[in-house]
Order: sequence, then C-alpha cells, then structure tokens
Amino acid sequence: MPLLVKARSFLRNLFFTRRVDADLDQEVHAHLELLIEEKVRGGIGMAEARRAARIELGGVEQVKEQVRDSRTGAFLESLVQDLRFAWRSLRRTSGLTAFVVITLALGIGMTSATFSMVDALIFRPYPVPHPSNVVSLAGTTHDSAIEDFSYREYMDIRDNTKSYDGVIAYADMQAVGYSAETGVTPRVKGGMMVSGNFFQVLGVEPRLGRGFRADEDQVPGRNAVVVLGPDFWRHEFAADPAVVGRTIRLNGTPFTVIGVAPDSFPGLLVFGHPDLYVPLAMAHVFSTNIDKNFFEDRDDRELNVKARLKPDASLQDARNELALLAKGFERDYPKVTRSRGAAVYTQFQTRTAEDQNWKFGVVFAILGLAVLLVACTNVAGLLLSRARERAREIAVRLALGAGRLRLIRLLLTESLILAILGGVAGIAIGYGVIEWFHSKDTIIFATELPVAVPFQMDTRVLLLCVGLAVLSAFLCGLAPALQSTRVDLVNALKSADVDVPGRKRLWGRNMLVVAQVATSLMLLTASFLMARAFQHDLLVGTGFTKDHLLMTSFDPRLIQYNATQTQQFYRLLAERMRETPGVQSVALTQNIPMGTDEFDGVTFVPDGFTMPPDRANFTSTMDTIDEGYFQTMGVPILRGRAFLATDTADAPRVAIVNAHFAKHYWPGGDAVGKRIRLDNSAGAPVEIVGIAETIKYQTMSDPMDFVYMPLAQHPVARMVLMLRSSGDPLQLVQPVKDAVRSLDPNLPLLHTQAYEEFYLNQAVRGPQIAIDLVGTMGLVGLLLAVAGLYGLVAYNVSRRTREIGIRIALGALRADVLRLVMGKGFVLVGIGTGLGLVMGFALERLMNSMLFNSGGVDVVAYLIVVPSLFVVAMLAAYVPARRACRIAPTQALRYE
Amino acid sequence: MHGLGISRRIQQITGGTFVVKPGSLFPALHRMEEEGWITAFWGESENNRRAKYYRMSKAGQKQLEAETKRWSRISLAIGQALEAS
Repeated sequence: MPLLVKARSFLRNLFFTRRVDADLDQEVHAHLELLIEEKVRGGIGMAEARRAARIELGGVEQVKEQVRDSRTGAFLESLVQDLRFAWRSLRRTSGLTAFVVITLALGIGMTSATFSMVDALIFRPYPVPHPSNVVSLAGTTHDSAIEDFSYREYMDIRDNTKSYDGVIAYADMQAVGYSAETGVTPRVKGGMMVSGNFFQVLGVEPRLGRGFRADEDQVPGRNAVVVLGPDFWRHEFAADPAVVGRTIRLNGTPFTVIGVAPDSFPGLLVFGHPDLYVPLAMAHVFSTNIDKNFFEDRDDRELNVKARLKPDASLQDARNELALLAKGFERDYPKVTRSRGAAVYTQFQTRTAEDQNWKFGVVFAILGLAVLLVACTNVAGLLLSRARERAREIAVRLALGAGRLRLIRLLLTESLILAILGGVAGIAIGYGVIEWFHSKDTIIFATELPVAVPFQMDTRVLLLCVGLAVLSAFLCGLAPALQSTRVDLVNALKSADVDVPGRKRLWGRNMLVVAQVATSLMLLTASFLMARAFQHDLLVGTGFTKDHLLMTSFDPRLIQYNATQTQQFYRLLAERMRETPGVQSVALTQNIPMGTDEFDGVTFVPDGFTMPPDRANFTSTMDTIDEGYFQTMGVPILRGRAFLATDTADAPRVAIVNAHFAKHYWPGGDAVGKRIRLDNSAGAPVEIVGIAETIKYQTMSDPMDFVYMPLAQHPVARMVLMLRSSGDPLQLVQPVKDAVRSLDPNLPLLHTQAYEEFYLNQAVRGPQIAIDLVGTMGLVGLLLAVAGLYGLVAYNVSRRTREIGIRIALGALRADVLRLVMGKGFVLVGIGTGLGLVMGFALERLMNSMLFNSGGVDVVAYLIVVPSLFVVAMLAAYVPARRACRIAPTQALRYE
Repeated sequence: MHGLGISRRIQQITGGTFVVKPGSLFPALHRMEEEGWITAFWGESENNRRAKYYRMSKAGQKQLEAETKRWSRISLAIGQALEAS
C-alpha cells in the first residue's frame, strides 16, 4: 500500500509538474500570509511584519526549490530538465555544436577503428566457451619462442600432462582440393587437420550432425570424415541440412560429412576461417612434407598445440610440467630434439609472439588516441570560450539560488549530449574506416585460401566508443564547468565584460593549444616517417625483375599425383612452355619472392664452422627452384654457377646460397666449393656451387640468409610456374592452360596473375593503405590543431576588442597590434613545436624498434614537418590577428 | 493542522528547543505525504485564510508507533551508555 502511494506521487510529480508546482506555490505563499498575520497580531506594523515574515521564511523560491529537491523522482526530473535545457541551448548555437560534434566524431572514429585492429589482433578472445583458460603449448628454440610440435610429441604431451582438461592439436590451414563429386575439377579450399578431441575440448557444439569421436583419430587413414565450416556450408551447399552423411572429395579421397561447425565458431585463427576440418589421422591425404612420416617422425613438426587449463591448475605448474616433459624429449630423442624447450602461453602471449602485425595495430591505436586527444582539447577550448559568453547567465542562475553542483551537472549534461552525438557520428566514421579496409581485402590478402580482415565493429568496440564518448565529455566539459561556476557574483552581475583577464584562466587554454600543436606535430612526424621509410624501400628496390612475368601455381596432390608423377608433370610442363612462342624463359619455384606464403626453413651445419657450444645447427630460409629460375627472375649469380639440368636426383647434392649467407658463414673466404650438412653434423653433405645476389624475399626489411635447392634433388609438390614473356604476360595464360590440359585435363591452375600486378598489391599498395591511414590521422590532427589555435586567437581578439580599439585610438600602428596579438600565438606554437619534437623523437624510436628495426633519426622528415607545421599554425593565428588590426576605434569603443 | 501551526506547536512543546524553519518543514511534510504517512487538504484557517492542512493517516500512525519504539530503544541505550561511563 505505501509503495502504491509513493508510485502515485512519483507519477504525479513527473507528469503533472505544473499542477504540483502551482499547489506548492500556493502553499508557501499561504504560509507567508499566515506568518505575516501572526506577526501583526503580535503587535508590529504591517510593513515591519512583512519584512520579519520574509526573513523567517528565507525566500519563497529557495523553499520551493528545497521541496522540489526532496520530492520522489527529483533526480530524474532535474535530469530531464537538464537534457531539455541543454538541447535547447545547443540548438541555439548550432554551428558551434556541429563543429564540436564533428571534431569529437573524428577523434572517436579514429580511435575505435584502430582499436578494432588491436582488438582483432591481440585481445579478442577465442570464440569458444570460457576462452580464458585455453592456453597455447609451444616448443622453443634459440631462434624462436614459438615452434610447432610433431605428432609424436603431441601424443606424449597429451598423455603425460595433468594440468589440463584436454590437449588439442591442429595443423596450419592449407590448400585442399575440394570437389563435390568425382569427375569435377577440384577447387582450392582451406582445410585444417585437427585432433579428434578438437571440438569437444574447445566446447564447440556443431550446429548440425556431430564433431569427431575420439576413435576416429586413432588409426591412420581409417576414418575419412569431415566437419564443414559454417561459411563453406552456406556457400557450397546452400545451407542444406541434409548435407550430413553426404560424401565429398578432398584431394581426390572420398570423405563423409559428419557435421557443420556453428556460426559462432569461425576457427581459432586471427585471419583465416577454415572451410573444412579433418582428423589428424587422415594426414597422409594432406601432409605437405613428402620425405617425413607424419605419424612417426618426431621432427616432422607441423602441429599447433592448445589445451584447456583445469580450473584449479596454475599456469606456473603447467609451465613447469611442460618444461620437464621437454627435458625428457631431449634426453630420450637427442638426435631430433637438441636444445629444444617448451613453454605455455596465454592467448595474449601467443598473439603477440605469433606475428608482428599487432605492432602496427598498437602504433595506429596510439596515433588514434592522439587524434582523440587533440579533438578533446579542441572541444574543451571551444566550451571554455562558450562558458565565458555564458558567464553572465550563470551568474544570474547562481544568484537566483541554483546550487553550484546543480549547475556543474547542467553544464556536464551539455557536454555529455555533445559527446554522445560525437560518439554516434564517431561510430559511423569508425565503421566507414573498417569498411574501407574490407574494400582492400583483395589487396591485403592475395591468396586463394579463405581469409578475412578480422577488423569489425563488435560489441567490444562499440562499448569502447561509448566509454570514450563519456570520458571525453568529462575531459572536455569538466574544466569549463568548474571554471564558469566559480565566478565572482557581484562582479559578474555588475560588469558587462565578466572575464577579468586573469592569468590563471588563460593558462588552461594556452596549455590546450600547446598540447594540440605538440600532438599534431607528433602525428605528422609519424606519417612522414612511415611514408619515407616506405619510399626508401622502394628506391632501394628488390633486386629482381618484376615486369613481363606470368605466375601460375599448381598442386598435383589435389588430383592424387605421387612424387614421381608430380616431378614428371613439372618437367613436361616446363619443356612445353619453353617451346611456346612468346616465352623467353621458364622457371619453377616453390615460393615467389614477396609472396604471401612463408618460405620453408632448412636446418644445417656448415662444414668447417666452429659451432657455438649451445647449439647443434642453424636454420635458414630456403626456396626450391629449377635451373631456369635465376635467368627468368633476373637475379645475378655473383660467383660459381646456376643450377643445371645435370643436377639430377642421382648427381651429388648441390645448393646455391645468397651473398648474405656466404658472408655470414665464410666471412673471409670463398663459399663456393664449401659444403653444408643437412639437419646435423652427420647429415647429408650438400655442396655450394654458386652465390646469388641478395634480394628481397619476404618483406622489404633487412637482408637475410637464403639457400636455394634444385627441384630435382629436393622434390616439392606445390610449385609456381614463372614465365618471362616478350609481350603482355597475360597473353601466355591461354598457352599455359592448353599445355596443362594436354598433360592432364583435371589439374587446376591455382593462382594465375601477372607477377607485377601481384607485387604491386602485395608490396606497394598494402603498405600504402597503412600510410594513407596514418597520413589521414596526421592531417586530421593538424586541421584540429589549426582550428584550435585560430579559435584561441580569435577569442583573445574578441575579448580585447575594446583594449585594442583604445590602443589604435591612442596611435598604435597596425604592426604593433599584430605583434601584440600574434606574439602569444608565436610563443605557444613555439613551445608546442618543441614538445612535439620530443614526442616525435620518442615515437620515432618506438616505431623504429617495433616496425622498421632500424636506428637513426630521419632528419629530412623533421626538416619538412616542423617548418610547415609552424607556418600553418602561424597562418591560423594571423587571420584573426589581421581582423584585430582592422578594428575601427570608434566602433570598438562603442562596443557593448 | 497547517504548516505554520505544526512548526509553532513543536516550538511550544519543546520549550523553544526545536525551531523548525520552513526550509526544513516543507520538504519534510512533502516527503511524508509522498510516503503516505500524512494526507494533505486545503482548508480555512481560524481567520478564514486558505491554508494547506495535514492529517496523519493510518499508515502514519503505524510508522509513528514504530519510530517511537525505535527512538525509545535508542535513547534508553544512549542513556545507559552515558550513565555507565
């Protein structure tokens, strides 16, 4: 019952405000009348009684205000009032409002877009239940903190650890030839081999059918079953629920579909969404490494291992346990496991160790935050000058009995509305930036496997936007609100120009301008550094020819060729192409330079090289090529010879190394004629017959060791055919197709493109996207800083109009006025530039260490950025200053 | 009883110890009304002036009893505590 009464009052207060208020007004007035009457009866005169009664009451409006505050729902009511009032006053100054909203939107948009990258690359949890207790188990070596395990090692880890509720393993996503039925040319899909407990340990329930059973992963080759990825199921089977039980062909082998993974589980990878999952036991259909036995060889390391930590197990215990196990491996299998350790990583550690892309994300996010900072200072500056214009209004409100807190709340409500509008617009901008990234998908990932830009506006990023908006509301709004409610009432009401030019008050605004100039200088520096580092790379060049080349990749495993058939196919294909008119030279290579796939590694011991005591061998990146490679790619042989047709499988094994490699291991002497031994010092000897020029292999970064092996002695299934054409390379596409069809009509041409086009996308347009992004942020920062400086000087001019008028009337020259007004801007920009330089140096160091792996200071970048920023900033101050010079004394003195 | 009456009555009973000013009186009255402990109505004062009158409701009676009990418990306790020291 009392609750009902209360609810009724609440509703009454909310909806019949006018009636409730009128009633209150009458009541208080009646009270006043009664008081007067009482005093009169006490025997004093009417006028005196009135005065006494008013004193006792203490102000009709104040009493009413106190009652209002104590009412049920008072908070809500005043909030609604604030909102309505704030909205009205913002609409009155719609130009300013629009500017503030756009400014905030740019800041929030940039930050949210860049955060979405950092989130996708580092923080986004695995799409499984309780993702935080999924950890990665990895091998460690001298050269790498994160190494795969072999099948045998995985089995041992799985069976001999106690810290986990299950240990899973999966191989990298790889190209799989898929066809729905026999007789259809297979297409390439992304397949992933997973252990039988994969879905069960991760807690992923298939949306259709079932996951793997433990027994389906026990006998090699017995259970040809496959679970489909959700996107693949939708595209290839039109989301047909009857797909379970159907048979499809993978690399020519029939597999039975047993389930479809749910939409909530696109896989564990950051960039790739596998189309198909198959059990590890079917490895013989997919395995890439022909000379190794996946199930037996302990050094055939192809598996990522992850595990679900038991709720009561500690990470430290798990680490100790695994380290001990790794020691055991080293002891029991010294031949294949020398100086290998093992480590357990959390998701964060795994993501930051696996690849380096996240560093770009972090640098971007720092820059995005810098833009937001500039935006916030700008908005704070604008609100400050607005607060000054409203000082009188606020003084009146304070005099009429408004509490200071209440006014601060009102002003903060205003900035909150601004921030929310800015936040919404910012989300739109962030969304736009991410969409723009998606439109560059094909440039960023030139591969036939299913990959996706993982950046997205999900709940986490949206939450961040909201948080940023609220935070920026307080950052921008609090200082002006505090300041404008701290006015001296008497002065404020008396004088027309409330703002006594106190030093303290302007100090805040000066700080803002300094911060803006500094931050935007930092942003500009960053974008310049990136652009110039990139330009530098392009100038240095790659060291090989890119034009007039056609590339086509093949993988005869897709149609079940064995090793002999595969080599036969490549030999015949190269022969046919050499005879084709328009073809100048023909090459086969396992990987193309600057390609998307990583090069293989080769483990070796150089003959005659004193090994450091703690290591048994070295590793280097390598490529498998045929005898036409160096000529076709235009890579010079510095010493010795290129591969010849006589380097057959039966001939002594040979290799060619690059100049970097030769200098690394034989610094004084000649590497030609020296030998390396594969795997370890007892391994097969390989003679170095030539030294090739060091070129760019994977990225534009520093040169690295590189080894070439002849295809005939190091057979590889998946190769790329490179054709040097005399004319347009694309005219050779049809001849290649014809040649392949005459050899085997079932073999698909995989990735066919003019190499130059591929290279431009991969090495030029991709980085250009990053530079565009940073450049945009730099420009936005600069624009905002210019607007801020302009605002400050214009504000000063308007505040000092009268003073300047008097000065001009007294005979001050224009130059004097200009100096007076600009002088301060000059000092502020100077300080800001100095600070910005320091921040720029710091950022350069950070970028060098994170991205470019280089030291040194790019003087030219500073020589360009600093003066141009200075000039632009001074221009921003000059425009309002010139207006100050034109102030007509008569008008200025009449002002107000 | 109207607001001024209540205020004067408290002053009188407590021998001038408690003087309830309008700034405290009206918020308190309105809160109690919203809680449903008192009801308000417009009436005529002894000198035929319109004034807002307040009357205790049943719920108010109950609340008063409860508060009185609570108060006597507290004052007893405080009294004992003071005596003991």
